[in-house]
Amino acid sequence: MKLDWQFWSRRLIWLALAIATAVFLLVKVHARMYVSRPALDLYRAVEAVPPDKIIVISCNWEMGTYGENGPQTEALIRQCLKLGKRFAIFGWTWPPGPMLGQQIAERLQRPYHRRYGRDWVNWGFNTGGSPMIRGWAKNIPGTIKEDIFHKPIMSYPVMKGVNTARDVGLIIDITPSNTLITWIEFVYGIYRTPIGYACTGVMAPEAFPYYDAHQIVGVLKGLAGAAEYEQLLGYRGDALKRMPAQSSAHALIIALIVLGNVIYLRARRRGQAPGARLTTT
Amino acid sequence: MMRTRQWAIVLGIYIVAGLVGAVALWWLTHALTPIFRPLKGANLWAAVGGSVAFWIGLMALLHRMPASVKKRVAVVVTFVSGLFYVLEFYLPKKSGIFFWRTHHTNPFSPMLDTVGVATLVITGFTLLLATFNLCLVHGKNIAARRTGYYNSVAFYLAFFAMATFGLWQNHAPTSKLFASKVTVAQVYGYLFNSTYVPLGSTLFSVLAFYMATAAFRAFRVRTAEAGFMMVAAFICMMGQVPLGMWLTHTLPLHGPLSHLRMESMANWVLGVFSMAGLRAVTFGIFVGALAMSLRIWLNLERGAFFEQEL
Amino acid sequence: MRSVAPRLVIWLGAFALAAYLGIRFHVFAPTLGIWLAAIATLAIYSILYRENVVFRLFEHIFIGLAAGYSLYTVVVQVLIPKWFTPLFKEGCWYWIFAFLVGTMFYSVYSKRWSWMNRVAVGFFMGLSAGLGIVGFVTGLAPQLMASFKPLWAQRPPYVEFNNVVFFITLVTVMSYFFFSFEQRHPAVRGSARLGRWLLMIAFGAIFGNTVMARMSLLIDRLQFLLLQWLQVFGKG
Repeated sequence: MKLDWQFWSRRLIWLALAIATAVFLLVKVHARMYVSRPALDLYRAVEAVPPDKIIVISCNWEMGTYGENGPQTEALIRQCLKLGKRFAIFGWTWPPGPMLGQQIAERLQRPYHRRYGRDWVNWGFNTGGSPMIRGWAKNIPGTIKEDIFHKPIMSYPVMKGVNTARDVGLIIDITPSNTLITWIEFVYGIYRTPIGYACTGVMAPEAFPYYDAHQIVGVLKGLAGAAEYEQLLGYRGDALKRMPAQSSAHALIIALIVLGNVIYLRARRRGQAPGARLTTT
Repeated sequence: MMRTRQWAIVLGIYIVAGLVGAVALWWLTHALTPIFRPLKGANLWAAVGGSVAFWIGLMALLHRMPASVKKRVAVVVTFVSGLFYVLEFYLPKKSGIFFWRTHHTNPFSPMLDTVGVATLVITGFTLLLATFNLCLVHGKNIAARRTGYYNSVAFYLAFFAMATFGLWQNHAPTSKLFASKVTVAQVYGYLFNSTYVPLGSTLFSVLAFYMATAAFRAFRVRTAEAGFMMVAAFICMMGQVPLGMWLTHTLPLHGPLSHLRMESMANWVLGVFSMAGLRAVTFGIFVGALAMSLRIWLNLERGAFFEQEL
Repeated sequence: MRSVAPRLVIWLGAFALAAYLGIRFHVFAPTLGIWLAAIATLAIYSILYRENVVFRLFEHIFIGLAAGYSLYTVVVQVLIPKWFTPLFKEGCWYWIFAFLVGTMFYSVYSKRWSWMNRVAVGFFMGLSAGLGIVGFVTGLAPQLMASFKPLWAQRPPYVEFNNVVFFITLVTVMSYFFFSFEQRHPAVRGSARLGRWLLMIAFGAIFGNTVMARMSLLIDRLQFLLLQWLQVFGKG
């Protein structure tokens, strides 16, 4: 029986990827991350939020990016709970976002003796895009009205003195989408509220122009950013545990690219593969 | 081509019409403000019913108008809705030109949150449109018994299960299911945490496998530019993971040699080269977005949607 | 459907038997929630072998769950507190107009009445356009100001190397994107070519980060399967 090489070569590559990552999930390797400047700046920005202001954790993500945004949300909420910073979970792009943030915060609050309503609140999902954010910045209680449990948000002690974007000490946008530009244009640009950004790896390079222009105070780049944050917090969470597997996967991808190009060059030298010479255009 | 005198007359008419319109709007808002007070009981239902009747009448009247009038209405609605945010931002917060206001404040700023909440609510109804469309498509599949229509049956079962248990647990989370020990909240938990979240996560994670295949089969370094790109990609990939950091961990943390550490090189590529290139792209995006916004706002945009017959 | 059913029954039976034996001998976690998640995960991963009915079925289940959750969230967290309560409980009768404008979008299904959809879409496009004009100033101005970096320093080597690299990259990449006139002058052509080279570095960074992003998602699911479902390191 003739083996279908096209079919099986792909499956072999996938099996190799699964094994390469699984091995380092099963073999415990203590990874050490060197913290980058954007992550350190975000960490310090959270620390610097004064007690009379609230931190807004904008959970604009959904389960598709749980692998990256989940550990980021966990690390940021953990820091807020640890330092006693009051925060509000908020979402306006993906419906599951606030609920996923709620589950993380409920799981983490007990060791730090924090309580919903007194130390943090969840504003739920509010759609409407940029016009909603523009109105939200001017009048937070008037736009949000109720929390995720259908109680008026101003009935909670944590919301004391929070009326406009000027009463917000820091907004951290955790998202795989391009929602950062809305925060920058209509909140930072008008009210000068500091913005932090925790994005998936794909969006990270696009955040650096804004970081350089000081429109955002810090950036967490995907799972690596979450691992750096856990390193700063001094606890070994999911992100740090997964970094060895991440390393292995990256090494495999690089090996595959090199191997593919070596095979291609050899085939071209034998005259078996068409292709342009290595030139500049 | 119109002569200068004709242009002056047209401009004058526009200015006078604008002033008359502004005064009329001011009078209307002041005269009509008492109408916008909360109502109760029969008055509320009368007001709601009257509004619906007014709206239906207005839409029926517009429907009878020729297509050019309908198109003009769409253009005016687009312009006025955009004008609100432009005037709110570009007019000063306080100025003597707002002479009719108590503290001469910008009259548009107090409306920001109301417009925001209105947009929030209207967008909520449009999100329901997406759900409605999905149900329509899958309903047609089932009705026509197309190949794989059982998938559409599964869609409906999942849809109604999530919607029903979601709304039910929101209303009464501790109520039991069919006289059993299982609560509605538990069932909703299984649907959300044990089905919805894993399915969503897994669907996106499948891309990792296709990326591995693409790395082997498709990424060919045929030109020097592609080689440049690959080197930058390798540095960024290894500089953000512990393996790459370990490769250069023997280099000092400070001093000239520290710039050769993998994480330093990755941050340098991201923070200098990549940042500069993407800033140039960002400039283009901003200018393009401004041009597109102006074209849409001023009805200068052409295309299938804007030129369709109404 | 007839040819699929016997094979489906056999596969389901084999899976149920393996599951029973696995739980019986403490290989798998006994929790129903973890089992549901594992079945969902493996069903989606079955596409890696080949296209099959199980993947399609679970894909449609996911779409149904997403649509149902979206409906639940919009009704409970948006429409009831922000529209229904102000309208019917607080007596703000004018909120009925939000519903009427919202229903205009549904006229897209009727060719005769679709002009209403055009007006409603025009309303939102106008809002976005107005905000786009505002955002041009608030978003772009700091970017422009931050682009003017000092190229020389007070101390040796008397040149801010990173800023020089930034300046060259920014100018050459911008010159590459000048498509509105023909680039005839050698300086302009050379600048555009250098800009394209330097832009490749940005694309390489994006590609590297994209690989990182996708692998992270895979690692999350593999961690669940190995550590929570198969319980390789025991419970917890």
